[in-house]
Amino acid sequence: MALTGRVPLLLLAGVPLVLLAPRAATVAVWTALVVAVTLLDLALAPRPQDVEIEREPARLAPMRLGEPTTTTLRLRSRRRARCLVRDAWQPTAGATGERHRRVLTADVDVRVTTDLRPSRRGDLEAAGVTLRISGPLGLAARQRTRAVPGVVRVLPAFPSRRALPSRLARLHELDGRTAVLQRGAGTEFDSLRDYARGDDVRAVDWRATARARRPVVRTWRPERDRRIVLVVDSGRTSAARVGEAPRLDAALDAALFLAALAARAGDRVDLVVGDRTVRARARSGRERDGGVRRFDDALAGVEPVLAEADWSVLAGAVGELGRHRALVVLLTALDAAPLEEGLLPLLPALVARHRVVVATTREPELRTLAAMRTTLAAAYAAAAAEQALAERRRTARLLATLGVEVVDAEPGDLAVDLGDRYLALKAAGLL
Amino acid sequence: MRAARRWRLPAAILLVVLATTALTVALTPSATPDGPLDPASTRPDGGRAVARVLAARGVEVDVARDTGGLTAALPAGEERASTIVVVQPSRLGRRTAGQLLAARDAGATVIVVDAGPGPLRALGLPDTVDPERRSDDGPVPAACDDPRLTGLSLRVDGRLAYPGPDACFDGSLLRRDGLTLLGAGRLLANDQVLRADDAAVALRLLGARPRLVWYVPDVAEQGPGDAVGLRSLLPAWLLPSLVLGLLALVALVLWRARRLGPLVREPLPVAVRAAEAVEGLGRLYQRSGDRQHAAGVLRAAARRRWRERLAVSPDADDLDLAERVATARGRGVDDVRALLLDGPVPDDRTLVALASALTDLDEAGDP
Repeated sequence: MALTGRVPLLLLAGVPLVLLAPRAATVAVWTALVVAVTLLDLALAPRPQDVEIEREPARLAPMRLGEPTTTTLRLRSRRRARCLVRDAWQPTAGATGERHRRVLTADVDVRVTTDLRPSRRGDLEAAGVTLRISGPLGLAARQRTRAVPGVVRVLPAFPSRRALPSRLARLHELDGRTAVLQRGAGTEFDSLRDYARGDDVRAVDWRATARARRPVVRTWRPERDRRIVLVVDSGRTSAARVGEAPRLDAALDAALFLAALAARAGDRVDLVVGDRTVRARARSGRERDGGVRRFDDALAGVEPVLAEADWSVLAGAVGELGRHRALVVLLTALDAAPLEEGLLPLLPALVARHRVVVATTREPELRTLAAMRTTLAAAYAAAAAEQALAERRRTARLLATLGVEVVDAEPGDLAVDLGDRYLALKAAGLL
Repeated sequence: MRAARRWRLPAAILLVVLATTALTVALTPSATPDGPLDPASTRPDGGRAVARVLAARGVEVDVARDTGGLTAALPAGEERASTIVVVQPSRLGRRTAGQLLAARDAGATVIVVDAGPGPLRALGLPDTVDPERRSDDGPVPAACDDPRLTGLSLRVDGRLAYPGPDACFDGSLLRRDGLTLLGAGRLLANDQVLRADDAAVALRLLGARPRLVWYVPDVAEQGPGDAVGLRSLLPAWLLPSLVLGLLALVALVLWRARRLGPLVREPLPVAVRAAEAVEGLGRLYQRSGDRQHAAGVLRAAARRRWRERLAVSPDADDLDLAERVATARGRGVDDVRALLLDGPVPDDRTLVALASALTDLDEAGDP
């Protein structure tokens, strides 16, 4: 049960009575009267159990992090009921205006809508619907909380998707329509066409030219159906916040960007997310968008785990995907200790079979720290930052010696930089 | 020994102060009673003049200052020959009041001076005798049928009046239930007893019997039951209203405290700023005071940057690098060498200066 604000007001309304008859009995009688009326009101209030509550729909449409959505409850009561409804969600679902005051007419559907603005990835769930129905006098109310299932899948924010059209355009430039393209190991013959000004003379196909009596060039296009394996490290180092968001978010953004780009380019993309164990897998398909939807779903619920990544597990997962040569992209942090102990011993075997790219986010704060040197504390911090930068550089050089390419970018640029590296490799036929 | 000597002077001073205080307390005469209308007080508001005159006229004046004194001053059987005058009745305790009433029942004349509502209640007088405070411009005539007071008038600076048809002096003298209420107590005061017929009124009232017990109640005689309850001073409706308000407050709390459904809990992932570890490392350097190491790191970083900028071959040693940097910047070779090459860093100031100088060297415009 619950009281309303009218009960204290009603009690205070007894003060004039007390002025008329200033005795303790007046207070007692009035209080007893108020209690009796309140209990009567409670008894007359409709039962929340008799109200039918349904969420429409129970599973909300998936959405990107940072976008708003709404959820609707349908209420139907057999009796007229004045009620207060609270549609509670877990806090990061960002429910606002979750309290609704409504009068339910008998056997009429009433819908209440709550705004959601999730601040976190993953499946966010409704916590329960609380119904408070007051009696005819509005003094007391029955209250009950019921579980009304509701879930919204919040996909990674994917802010780099704005840069996708420009990179897709560049992909088309690569694709067969130009003879300028250099012939390489990863390119395949596409077609013959008339020579146009600007074409490389080395691309002229003399036999065809002789036959057609006009200059004809061969065109090449990057080979399709290459394999890309994206490995996202969700271990301890991915939990560190770089700028606004954890490092993992930048890695997921980059993974989605590359997956979308590569799927459009006709390559097959595999995704492995893991730390000590594999947390999520996804594979691109033959759909029009290359099945990027599945990547979104796979990455939605991934959270950083406070344990060191076990690279033997992740490398094993890569090995399971097949023995064909692939572009293996490791999205991790360029921290010397975990990388040298975990990843480095496995790299030679991986590099021997695949082309390996390590993509990491750089902390912009390090440069700021290294540049500020006006006080003693700042000078020491600058020294520490320089030390960290030197270690990163050393690790990157070590990786480069092993034949691994390193993409080191600030969180906002990682996706696009990685995409550009992919395009460059593709253009050079190095996949 | 030295320690003992050091304490000697303060101890002596303390001793002298203590002795002086003790002597002063001992020699100061005990406080003479100086309350209003006290028979021993010679102050303007004291009652010594009247007490002395009565004694000189052959009235046996006994002064009682506490319950025990009152009992002693009133031997059984003497009541009919006694007048009891009670001053400062607001100090009157319940027990003493009972004693006074018993004396009245045994035949004594009891005069209560300047009694307010509290003492009146203690003496069992109905609330109907509600005293009012009055002040007059001239003498107040007796104006009643008491033969002893016929033709007398009193004049005091301020008085209480107990209104009643049988009251004398415009209400300032009233007999009720064998008690005499004197509202114009100041006519007994040393400074006002000579006004108008005040002295006559005083002597006729107090000197009517051979014995006079002048009772000055002691505050200490009041028991816990004597406190005038706050409750009796408040309007009757206030307390019930407050109770009702309190109940309303409880209802208010119940209303506001009822939560609309339980709190929702959610485990959240941990997020630590990536740069935090580096900042911590910097503080660690600072705490250990490893200036040399910090300076070495900063210099090495600066050397690396200059090697990249000037495209110095990896084979060239740091002395060559310093020379080329000096040329590029147009600065003295020794100066640049002192900055870039490892040298001693004696104190924190030098470290900060070195760090800033390296930045300046970096940022002074591209070569």
